[in-house]
Amino acid sequence: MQVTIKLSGNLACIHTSLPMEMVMEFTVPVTIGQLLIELAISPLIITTVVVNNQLKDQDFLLTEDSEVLLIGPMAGG
Amino acid sequence: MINGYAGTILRVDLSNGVVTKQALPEDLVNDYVGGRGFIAKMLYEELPPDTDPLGEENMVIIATGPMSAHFLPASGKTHFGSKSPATGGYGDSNVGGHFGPALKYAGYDVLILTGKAQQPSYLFIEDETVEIRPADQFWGQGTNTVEKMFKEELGEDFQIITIGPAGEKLVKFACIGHDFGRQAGRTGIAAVFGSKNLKAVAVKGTGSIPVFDIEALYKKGKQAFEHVFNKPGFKGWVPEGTAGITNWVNMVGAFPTRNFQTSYADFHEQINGKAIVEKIKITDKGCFFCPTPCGKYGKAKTTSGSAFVEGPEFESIALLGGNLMLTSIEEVAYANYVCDELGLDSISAGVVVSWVLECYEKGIINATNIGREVKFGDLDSIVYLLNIIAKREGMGDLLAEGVKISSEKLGHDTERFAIQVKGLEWTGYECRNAPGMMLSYMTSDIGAHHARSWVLGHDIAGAGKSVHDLIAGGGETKKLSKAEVRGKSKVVMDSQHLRPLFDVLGICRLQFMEIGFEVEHYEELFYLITGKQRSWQELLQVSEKIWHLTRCINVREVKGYGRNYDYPPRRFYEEPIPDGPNEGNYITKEEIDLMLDEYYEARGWDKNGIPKQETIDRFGLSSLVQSRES
Repeated sequence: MQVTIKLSGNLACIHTSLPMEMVMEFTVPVTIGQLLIELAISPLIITTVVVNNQLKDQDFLLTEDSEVLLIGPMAGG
Repeated sequence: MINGYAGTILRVDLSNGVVTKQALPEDLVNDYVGGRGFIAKMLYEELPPDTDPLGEENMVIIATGPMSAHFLPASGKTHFGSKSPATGGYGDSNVGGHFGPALKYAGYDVLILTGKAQQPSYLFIEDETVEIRPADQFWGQGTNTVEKMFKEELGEDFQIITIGPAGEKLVKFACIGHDFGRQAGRTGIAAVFGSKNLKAVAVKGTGSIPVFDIEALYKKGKQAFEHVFNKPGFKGWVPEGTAGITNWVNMVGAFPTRNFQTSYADFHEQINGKAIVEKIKITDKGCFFCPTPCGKYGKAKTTSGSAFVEGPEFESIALLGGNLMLTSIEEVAYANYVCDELGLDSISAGVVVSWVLECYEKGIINATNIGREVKFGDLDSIVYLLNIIAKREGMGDLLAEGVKISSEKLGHDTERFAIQVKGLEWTGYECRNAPGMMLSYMTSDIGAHHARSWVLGHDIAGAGKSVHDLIAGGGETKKLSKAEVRGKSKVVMDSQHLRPLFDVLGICRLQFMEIGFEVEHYEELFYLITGKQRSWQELLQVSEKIWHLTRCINVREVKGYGRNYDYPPRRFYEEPIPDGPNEGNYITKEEIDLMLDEYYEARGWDKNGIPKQETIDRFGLSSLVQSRES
């Protein structure tokens, strides 16, 4: 299955080797947590996960054509 | 005519009322671009060495950037610079709102204030009309009160910056207020205003600013706004603004609590962004051309008083909430309001007050010294302390000097827990297990400030356990293992060039940092405004040059400046964190020195942190600066 992943600006600043937007293929459905393992992104720096415009937690099972936004921590003003 | 700029530097000598309008030099624009760049260059060049920060010779420079006031997201930023009364070195501060655009539409990119007015005064600017006017009726009033008075007298079209009673009393961490709740908070520039008998600046501008390709800019600007609105993170970010980070900072054990004694507040959900939305917020409030309003305007009702207030931002939640143990969002918001109205930097005020409260708990200060019983978590105590500081009453006169001087004079080893660097109080991140962030605070040019470099996310990303183990553990961790201290210099330096670049350009960085508005847009917008092709990398190199220049200002102005001014407070390298996610963690003095050694080498500074001549030459500064390397 195909999943589109987008990183927020602040997350992209931390994980500079990752593109801000990418498409990944999986042979079986994966959870958000499994996706983070695949991307080697620590869950400690994911403050919010949005899947198809809805907030989800890391146990959420992704489906075909999911659009996932991973938001990292911001610097509070 | 220089596209993107109003084209004029306005100089006002408050001593004799002489107003000079100077054409904006092209070489200044090419070499330093705007905002913070203009300020650094002018301060180095024009400020007499060893100037008293509160003396007549000190300058206040208020600068916009080439992207200020133009049709693009969040182009309303204004940058202030001076020799700081708090640190004795380079000081600057930044405010959103609408003042900078008004100044630019009036025809001025930069406003420079020198001298001292004979009596309490304000500066009136309406396009080409510039006058120093009496301000007796405003003197002694709070910032919100004064702004309302000005709007009623001059009209809503005027944009106002003003100091409060704290600035008039030369409190070293007094701040400038604007737009009923925004501040140019840091480094005490409001005290410089006060030393000049200057209460406020009121500006109205009806002119226009030349643009290289106005039609293309309009089209691109419109796309930029739509792009931001459609960003997936937009809807998630706006409701809570910066307060939205409160939970996360606690989860990773970086939340200042009880004068930075520890780093986790078990009551944080009572003072977070959700609490603001549910309990006090009336509306979102934004700045000039801002699509992502970070301001949360609301009403706070407490037993100590009620007020309408913009905020609290995360920093105020951290320093007035966790740090002072105020456990309700209403109380944090009210304390925020008191700071705003008095014209006190809520960050520095929070740290000074928390130091007092710890001294009181330890019996070093008592009710006779301070005037009454005071304690953590008691809003009445806190409001009392804020007021005596702003008015310099009793012990407030000492506290108004800032936590560094207060602790040096009080003694009893209270310097150990005076949380500051270079004389500027620490902001809202506890860093005993965040070495990159610790290094950021230590090496910030204005003192302990997070806005120069924010790398806490990098620190946490590399924290301890493997990603797999963290996921298996449910994504959270009850305890973080000690972070690696080596190899932090590059990420800190990159951030120190990136974040202040927005202060050079005159725009807000939140759209880029938090919403993900891409760099390529800024390059194109810069070209359409100025007609100059300058890549983002090129602009970052200008920012890097400015970084070395502000270091040189500090070296020149602060006697004995060097490595010893880059150390954090002893609490951070002598006391392990006692509880929470970072229990037992801290960074040792040896590790602090290792980080500084790495950083100075990467910077091209000597072992004392002084820029080497070869570095000054490499960045094209040698016509301005001679190295003082040892």
